[in-house]
This record gives sequence, structure tokens and C-alpha cells, in this order.
Amino acid sequence: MNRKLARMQGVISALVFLALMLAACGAPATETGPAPEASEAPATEAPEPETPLIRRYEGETIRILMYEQVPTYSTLDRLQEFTDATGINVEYELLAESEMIRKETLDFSSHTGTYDVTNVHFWYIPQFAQAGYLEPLDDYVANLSVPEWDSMSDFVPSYLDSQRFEGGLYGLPFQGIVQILYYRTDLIDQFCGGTPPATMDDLMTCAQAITEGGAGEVFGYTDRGSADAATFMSPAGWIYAWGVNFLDENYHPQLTTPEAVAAMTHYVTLLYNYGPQGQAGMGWAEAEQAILNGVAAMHADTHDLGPDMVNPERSQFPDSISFAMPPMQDRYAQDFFASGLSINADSQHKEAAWLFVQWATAAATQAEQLAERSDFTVESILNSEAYRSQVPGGEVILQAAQVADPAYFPAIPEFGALSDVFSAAVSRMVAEGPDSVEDVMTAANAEIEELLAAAGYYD
Amino acid sequence: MAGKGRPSQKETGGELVDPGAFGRKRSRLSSALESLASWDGGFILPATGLMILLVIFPTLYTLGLSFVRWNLTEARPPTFVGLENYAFLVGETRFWEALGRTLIFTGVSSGVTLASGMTLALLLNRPLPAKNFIRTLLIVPMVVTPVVVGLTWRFMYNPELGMINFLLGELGFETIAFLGKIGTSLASVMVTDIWQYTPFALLILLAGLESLPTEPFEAARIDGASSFRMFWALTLPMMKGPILVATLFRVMFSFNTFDTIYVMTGGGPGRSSETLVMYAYRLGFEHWHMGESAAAALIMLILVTVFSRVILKVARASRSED
Repeated sequence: MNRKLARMQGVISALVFLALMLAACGAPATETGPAPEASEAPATEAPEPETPLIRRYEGETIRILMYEQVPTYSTLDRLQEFTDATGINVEYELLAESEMIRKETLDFSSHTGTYDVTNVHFWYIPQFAQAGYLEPLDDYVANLSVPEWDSMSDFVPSYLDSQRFEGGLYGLPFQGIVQILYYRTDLIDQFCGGTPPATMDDLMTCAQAITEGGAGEVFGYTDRGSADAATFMSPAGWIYAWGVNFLDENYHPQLTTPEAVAAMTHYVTLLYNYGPQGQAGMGWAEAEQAILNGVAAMHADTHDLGPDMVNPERSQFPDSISFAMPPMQDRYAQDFFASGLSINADSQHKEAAWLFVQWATAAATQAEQLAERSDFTVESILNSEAYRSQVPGGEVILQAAQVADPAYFPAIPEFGALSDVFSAAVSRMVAEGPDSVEDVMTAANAEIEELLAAAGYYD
Repeated sequence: MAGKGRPSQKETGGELVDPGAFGRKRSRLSSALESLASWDGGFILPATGLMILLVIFPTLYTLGLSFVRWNLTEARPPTFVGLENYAFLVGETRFWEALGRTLIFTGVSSGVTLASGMTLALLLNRPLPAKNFIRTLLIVPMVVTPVVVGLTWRFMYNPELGMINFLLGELGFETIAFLGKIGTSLASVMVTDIWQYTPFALLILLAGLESLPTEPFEAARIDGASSFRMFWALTLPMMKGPILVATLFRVMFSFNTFDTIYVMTGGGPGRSSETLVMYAYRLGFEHWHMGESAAAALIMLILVTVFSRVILKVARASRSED
């Protein structure tokens, strides 16, 4: 009996030990303090003065987490150039966008430091920077810049600004996208006098004319109307066009202002009256598909869709889709997006990680990818003749980038919650029509106000 | 006693080496393994370990999380807040609406799945040409990944390009934006769920039908009972066990359906198809409020557990009646 009891005790002890080990592995760290001292001061730990900066971290291995998309593939295809230049080994993990965001957030919050470098979308910069998850890069820029990779003065200002929070720099812009208007030249010629709409009023008139002439086969305009978070950008950019920012300077939502209501009435009218059926279930991918398939005549969205528009394998009208500046009311509509490369504050290889970030975002590295992508973040490329001639819509992208304003986005840590509320509201308004706008905007405004009050922005 | 069994030692290269140490360690290890092997419960250790790793630990972790305020938007460490997260949920209209939709989704989807599964099982439980081929074909939806099912049906529902609207058009009906209307989005997702999981009910119920004794049916036939009478008075009572098992699994699956809803509607338009699991996901991965999300998940676990207990109780009661 005693032996049996002893065995049982042994087994129970083993199980308890296993449980404790697991708990230790998975428990969230409860401190968000500074990173280990060893890598806190990048400039003061220079080893041998004769070792050039570019080779100073030779032999180190960094891990990066990025999401699956063309710019990522284009950059990683050239990874050997970085390793040859620096002697730093790079291990990478690629995930679908949403999965990457979840994984990096959990890695940051558990302070495991699994990844040294990650893609961070500009709207997460405030959240991650405030929580102490991201390494501030200002010292690195000042003291550890490799001259041939230094593009600080070349980055498009709006893209670089999107990587800042409360004055600090937390990433370098890896990918930048702005809104342009895609339109079918044949339909614009037939119904809208041959000139793409420049103002919101022109857009409505033109969309109405095409829809009425399209006899239920072709619709004037399409955009995002589904309830997913990505829908947030287009309607928020519409509100910006009417001269109002989503939040005022005291973080109060502005959805009940006459301007915001007018903007959303315009947006919802366009989609409800002159958009294809089922707009309330259409995200950016379906909206793009609608113009590619000839169901819609106009679509304002991010400029990286340009190559699809003129690709005969993707578009049914590759020769008759053209590009223009986004429509404007008081200001240009926005759909600005930037994703940067940031360094994990818990990284044990911050200097090596910095060299990778600098290389991957350098103008020289981007220039090699001219034939592969269109979302460059440096003016020298966007201004170049090669870009204008090779990239579909290249002639309007720089112009659109110069009027792009990340401020249309509520860049606060609670952005995710705001996006959830507002995207659902937009989807509902698009499903119910323009008459619902005032009530739904009032309800969304109250819900956002409540969320931000709970987060401590005000009482 | 102190020196008993003390190993001899010899000096080699300035280090004391115990020549018997390796052998003694091995013998200890092998005796530990032997005693483990001789222990009746030893064989359950690997499964127990996996259970702890994959079920018990995450559940306890989630339970712990539901009592803390841990917002990933804040620089603050997690702080204990007691039942505050549960109180928050109970006070949220959105929570109750999501719960209501979950119950509707679960009830309708499980009910129709069982009914259609039973119908198909009855059809297949009779001599049919190419019966095995038909059975294999019917199982296909069940083995497709839910995300793929969601994407396929999303495309099929497309008002401009989808097959369903094409067929409706051919039959002279107007096009319907199934996923783009508040009144039809949840029902459209239910249809997809029913399509995917009917084969699951079919498999369980067909196995049950095939194991039924034939004598009572032959006797009833001789007595002149109609097919419906035999189904009502014999098949259904004798199939109580398989029906309860299928119901239990279907309810658990439907209650937790996430992939299909996420892919097809994202919970919209508005929040018209947002179920409890979608709401918990949004709290966790859009609001980044991990405590509230964990509390919502725990409430789901409690509801599913209560329902499972009820089903098991009914099953036990019916067994004792038999």
C-alpha cells in the first residue's frame, strides 16, 4: 500500500511540476519595464573601433515576423545581400496579415522577445509604443546609421510621420499606400463628359448617370461596406474630406457633427443607390473585384491595386481602367496606409535588428524592386521617371502621397475598438440606406465615447 | 549504515570518478521505468500529459484571465478585478444580442442538421444502387476546412457572380444579396453550417440505424403497421441514443462556430450575424481586452457544459427506462 502511495505521489509530483512549468512558460509578464541593459544603449557599446559598423554584429542571428504580401517577398528575395554585407543571419516567419498581428501582439505582451523585428501597421504604433513594446529608434538613427542605407531625408514625410508616437520614432516605413480613384475611361466618356470626377458632387452625379445608364448591369461606384475592421479606412477618409477628423483634440468622436453626417450620407448614398447589390457585405477585396469584373465603373481605394487593374489575367478591362486623384470636398478623401518595420523592445539583438530595418527600408534596396511592387516609401523612387512609366497610376501616386494625411486616422491605442464599432455602423448604414445615417452615427458616437471614457480619456 | 554501499573511487586526471555511478543511475532509471510499467495507471500518463497541456492548462489560464483587467492597449500589468469582467458583459446589450443570435444559430442549425441527417440516413439504410459511392459523396462537405467552405459559399451567394443568384435569375426570381442584408445574413450562414454538418449527423444516425434489431420491424410489418407508424413507434425510440449523441456534438460545434461566420460575414452587416464567439474574438483581438474576452469565453463554456449535462442526464434517464 505504501509503495503504491509513494508511486502515486511521484506521479502527482510530476504532473504538478509539468503544470508549473507550463504556467511559467505561458504566464504573461507583469512588467513592461525597459529592455535588458546589455542592449539598451546602442551607441555606447561599440566593440572594436576599427570594425566598420556594417560588420560589427557579424555572426548574430535575428528573427523577423512579417506578413505574406508582395513587398515582403520582394525584400526577402534579396536577403542574401543583407547577410553578405553584414554577416548577420536572418530567420523569418511569414503569416497571413491578421494572424501576424495576433502573434506579434501576444509576443510583445508576454515579453518573450521571440521576434527581433516585426511588421507593424501604423495604427498600432501608438498602442505598442505606449505599452513599451517597441524600441525607440531615434538613437539608432543618430548613432548607428549605415550611410548607404540611410534614407531618413528621402522617406515620404507622411509615411515617416506615421511611425512616430508622441515625438518618438518607433519604426521605419516599409510600405506606403495612398488613395487614388480607379475609373473606367469608356464609361466616363459615355456618361460623365470624359473627365473623371474631381469633387464629391461630381462623383455623385457621375455615379448616378452611369448607374441609370447601366441598366442594372453596371453600377457607378463601389467601396468598402462590410463589417470587418478594414472597412474603417474609406469612410473615415470620407469624413476627413468634409473637414472633420474622426476624434477632436480632446479625443471626443465627431460622428454627430453636421460634416460627418453629411460625409456619411454621401458615402452611404453612393453605395446604396449607385453601388452593386450586397455592398454591406463587400470588403475591399469584393469592391476591387467589382471594378475588375466590370460591375462597377469607379472605385477609390489604395494605389497598390493598380497592377491588378491593368493585368489582363485579373481585369476584364485592362485597357480602359485609368487613375485619378481621389475625390475632394474640403480636403481630399483618404485611405492612407503605412506599415513599418519595428524592433521588439525585448529583443536581445537590437543593433543587428536595426541594421536589418535600415537595409530593408533603404532607398537602394527598394529601388531594386521597381518591377515588382508599387508601394515604395521614398520620394526618390516615387519621383523617378522609371516609377511613373512602369507603375500603373505612377503619375498620380506621388501627387496623392503629397496630400496624404495620417491624421484622418484616430491614432490612439484603442483604435481597434473604435474600428470595430465604426465598421459595424458603416455596414449597417450601407445595408439600411441613407435614412439610417443620423441614428446609426449617433449610436456609434455614444458607444465610442463610452469606450474612450472607460479607457480613461475623460469622465 | 553510513558507509554501507559506498562506491569505490579512483583518481583519474585529478578528478574523482565514481565507476559505479553510471551503472547505478541506469539501474535506478530502469527500476523506475519498470515500476512505472508495472503500475496499472502508467499507460494513461501520456494522455494525461496532453490533456493537461491542451485542455486543463488553457482552461485554468482562461479562468484566471477572466478575473483580471488586462488590456493590451495599456502599459499596466494585469490587475485582479474579481467579477468585474462578468459584470461588464452582463451589462452590455451587445452581449445579450450576441447570445440570442448564438442560441438561434445553434437551435436552428442543430435541429435542421439532425432532421436532414435522419432523412438521409433513412434513405441510405435501404438497398440502393451505388450506395457506398453515394455515402462517400455525402461525406465530402464534412471533410472540407470550414474556412474553405465559408469562402466557397460566400462566392456562391455573390449577387453578381454567384451560382445561387444565377439559378434564381434563371427561375425568374430577383437577385438577393444574401450576405449583404441584415435580415438574411445569419440565415445564410446557417444554411452553410447545415450543409457542412449534415453528413456528420448522417454518419452517426446511419450507424445507429444499421445496428437496430430487425425482428421488431418484421413483427410490426406482419401486424400491418405503416412505415410512418414504424418510424414513430420503433425507429425513433430505439434511436434515442444515437440522436442524443449527434445532438450533443452538433450543439457543441454550432455554439462555437467561428471560421464560417468570420469568413462569410465578419458578423455583419452591422452586427446582424455576430454570435457570442465572434464577440469574444472582437473583445480579445480588436479591443485587446483579454480579461473581458476570457470572461465571454468562460460563459460560453459554462453554457455548453450545462447543455451537455442536460443531454447526458436525458440519455441516462432513457437508458434506465429501457
